[in-house]
Amino acid sequence: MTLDEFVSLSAALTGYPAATLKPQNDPQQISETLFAELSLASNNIPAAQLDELTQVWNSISATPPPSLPAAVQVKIIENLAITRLAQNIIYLWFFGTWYDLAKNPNSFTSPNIDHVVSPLAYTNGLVWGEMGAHPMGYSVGEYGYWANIPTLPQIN
Amino acid sequence: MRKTKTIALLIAFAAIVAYIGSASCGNNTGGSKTNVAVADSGQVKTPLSPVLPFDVTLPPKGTGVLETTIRRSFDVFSWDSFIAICWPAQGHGVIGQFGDNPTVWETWKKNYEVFLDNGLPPAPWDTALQGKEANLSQTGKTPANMTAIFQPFLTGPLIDQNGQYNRFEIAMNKEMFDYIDTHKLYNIQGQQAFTDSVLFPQGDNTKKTYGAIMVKASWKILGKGDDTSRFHKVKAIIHIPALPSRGIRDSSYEAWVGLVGFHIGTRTTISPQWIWSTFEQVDNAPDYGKAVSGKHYNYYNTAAGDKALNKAPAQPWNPGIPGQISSQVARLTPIDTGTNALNDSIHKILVAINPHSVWQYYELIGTQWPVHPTQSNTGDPFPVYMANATLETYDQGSVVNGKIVYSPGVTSSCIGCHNASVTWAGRPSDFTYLLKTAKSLKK
Repeated sequence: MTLDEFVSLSAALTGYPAATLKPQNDPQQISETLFAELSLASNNIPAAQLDELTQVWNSISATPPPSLPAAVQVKIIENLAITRLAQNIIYLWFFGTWYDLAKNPNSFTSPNIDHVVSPLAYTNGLVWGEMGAHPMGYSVGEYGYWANIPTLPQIN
Repeated sequence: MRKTKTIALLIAFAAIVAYIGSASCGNNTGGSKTNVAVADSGQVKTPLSPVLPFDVTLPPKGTGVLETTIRRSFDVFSWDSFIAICWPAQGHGVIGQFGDNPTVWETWKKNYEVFLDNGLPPAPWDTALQGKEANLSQTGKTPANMTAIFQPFLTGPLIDQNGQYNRFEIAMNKEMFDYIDTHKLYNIQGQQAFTDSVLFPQGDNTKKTYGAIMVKASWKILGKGDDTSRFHKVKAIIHIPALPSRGIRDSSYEAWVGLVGFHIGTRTTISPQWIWSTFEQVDNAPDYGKAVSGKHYNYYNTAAGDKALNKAPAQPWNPGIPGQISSQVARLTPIDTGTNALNDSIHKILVAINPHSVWQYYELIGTQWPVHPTQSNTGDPFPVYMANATLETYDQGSVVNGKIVYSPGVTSSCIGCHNASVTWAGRPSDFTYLLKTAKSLKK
């Protein structure tokens, strides 16, 4: 899987535009940081699983936008051979966290396997924007923002 | 023979100018003159210019690359600004022509000349009266104050190899001063009565207007082991205000101090979160793990090891006690290679003016700016982290098992930190902590 394939697949899985996930001139380089997790040896990703996910994505990536979510649902989410890896990519973007592929995603295991990818990956997790919130101890809001009603992102 | 030498010198200048210009191309709508102007002192010609840039001049839209060409544009802006405000204040020749020179920025208003202890209005802008002699003082009794000896933040003062505390000062240009003066933001009552958003003037290439500029200088008291020919130096009053809780009595003395660190913050149209340029004297500290054995550093002892690396001195702190344990400082993030190349090219120009120019011993550490100014309040700064070894000494990041670790909200970021600045009315103060140093009006 290439970085471009990872970003376009991630856009389909998260619902965020690729340009949001990997903006031009990106100081934080979150997409590169998360993509590196797919080749991290300690993550124990079966090569065949990653190859299959890549192939499936390439086979449906040109699907017209209105039909793309359904194609992703059938070809990836309901495909037991690769759905877990696809879920992990969603977790990466939303939580900045990698979970052990071999175990139940709802149970935390060893921090050597289940881990926060990096401080920036964590603070840039999409979940914070979804909630109209920010990670504990870190905010880019203007002073006094806490007195305002949270705003939620507009996602098409 | 002399004519041949002069021609050779001019050819060298032309080559350097062409080199810089080729790497900083763009729509030349602004006031960035380093690459094109020729200042004529009557004695020395140089491509360096006393003219401040209004704003950064970027590569044509859509063609710039963040890490290279766009960074280069901002770095050129930083050097243009540095050269212009370190230009001789009295119009005597060009920068460094006589080795060292009193600078333009030293005639600007110091923070203590604007925010008076009694909260009264400051004296009118008059460069002939300002900055007569630097008064380097511990103005804040709490570490939260961003002035005086506590600039390296909550973690403590910076102590040089001679056991002397560093000193700091802050100055502002006329545009910034006028905004504070006009809106009566120089005391607490004025800020509380001010109901608009604090928005300092922006430099603008199209309108050809200058924005607010604030500078923060870091000085070391020159002493044993310091090669004074490598510093911009001034004779200053070293003032230690009384701090009874620590048994510190009020005292003052005069000493020669050398410039070791320098921040320039400039508010512009392209960068409303300000452009943050930071410079250092080249002998300050080695890159982490790359100390040169036996070399004299201002803040690193090659024989001491790294056990106390980038750790603040133990309490209690008292700048009045000589011979204290020195800080052991290394730079955790190396200077970018492109920035270093620009440093080299500027240094060559400075050496060509005068081989003994003190300004050749200053290097740009980096420039931080908001890449997407409207995306969030901080505008997505790049580089994400940036630190001056003398000003953010202990916030550069951490070394964990030999690996450098950076933490959002903890590791130094100019924009990230200044985003939290407020007025005495509890409203954002447009990325400057200066307003919070205002005092109550005493009638």
